[in-house]
Amino acid sequence: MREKNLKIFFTLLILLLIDLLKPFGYSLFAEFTFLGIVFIAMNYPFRIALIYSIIFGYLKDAASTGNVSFSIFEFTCVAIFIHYFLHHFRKKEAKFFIFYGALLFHLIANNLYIHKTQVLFSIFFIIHSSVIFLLINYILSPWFKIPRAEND
Amino acid sequence: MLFSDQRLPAISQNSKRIENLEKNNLLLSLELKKLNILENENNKLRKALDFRTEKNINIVGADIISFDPSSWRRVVLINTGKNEGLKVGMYAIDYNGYLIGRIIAVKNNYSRLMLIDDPEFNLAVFIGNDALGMLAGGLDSLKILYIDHSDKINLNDVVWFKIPLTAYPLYIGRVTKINENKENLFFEVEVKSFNSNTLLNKVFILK
Repeated sequence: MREKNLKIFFTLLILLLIDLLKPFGYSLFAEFTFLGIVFIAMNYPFRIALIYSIIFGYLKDAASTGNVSFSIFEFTCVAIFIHYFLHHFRKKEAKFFIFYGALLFHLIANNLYIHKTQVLFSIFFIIHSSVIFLLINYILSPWFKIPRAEND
Repeated sequence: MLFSDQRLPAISQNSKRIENLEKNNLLLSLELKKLNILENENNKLRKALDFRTEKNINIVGADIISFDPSSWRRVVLINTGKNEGLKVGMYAIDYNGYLIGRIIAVKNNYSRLMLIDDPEFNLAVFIGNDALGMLAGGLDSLKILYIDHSDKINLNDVVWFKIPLTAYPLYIGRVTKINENKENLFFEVEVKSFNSNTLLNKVFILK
């Protein structure tokens, strides 16, 4: 259990560092911390997902420009929604729709937060995030020992 | 034999070039003197009219330490702050001298710089020679709002801004699209920034 928690913590920490250092500059439209939270919420019990969404929501807010605790609220909502839908839709295909539902929620919440609708940016964001999430799944699933069938 | 027939034309060409350069040099020195006189005259007139005198600007280089983790914000953290004389509202330029942002928060050793494509960025700018408008940042494109219908704006007009109390113009971008709707009170244009580098790592602050 301790090893699993450490793995989750360091994975999310690395994803937050990637968001902060942006090694690809502004050419990559994706939020690694958010995708990490979605990955954890989809594969781990509700309690773990909730704790990590609060911790990393707080850390992201601390590094952000605004004073509002936006990410704590957003990540917590995402963890709750994902577990609610996973509880009600147990089919394998449901994960696909749940991921895009979470992404859509993220887009709408952020567009509302900045009081502007960024259509072109949002389209690129969906495309880039989908690819990055596939990569995260592909790289982290064996390390976290998550059966492939559950992820695909 | 030293001045052979083949060398003579080259020597005469060189002497002509030297003569031209000397002429240009003289003209430029005269121009410089004229500009000095004009500057003195300008300063005297400014004093006489009680205008604020122009201030000199200085440039401080800064490295980008980190970015805002949200993809919806374009704010960066730079490694210079109050200790180097930075203040809120100072402007930042890139290697080519194009405007890229404005300081929004300053601490002793670091500052936050809002880039021009941040959705909260806005600035009064000039378009071409006549028109004025409000530049508003955005992730999709930069826009200039509140342009009067009487203003003449053409595609490819340069968008620029003058640093307050100085005569230095800072270039921002070029007009790429004009959205003219006669029903609205104002019209707006889209701008493509001159700074297209998405991998920023160094900025220069104008003090």
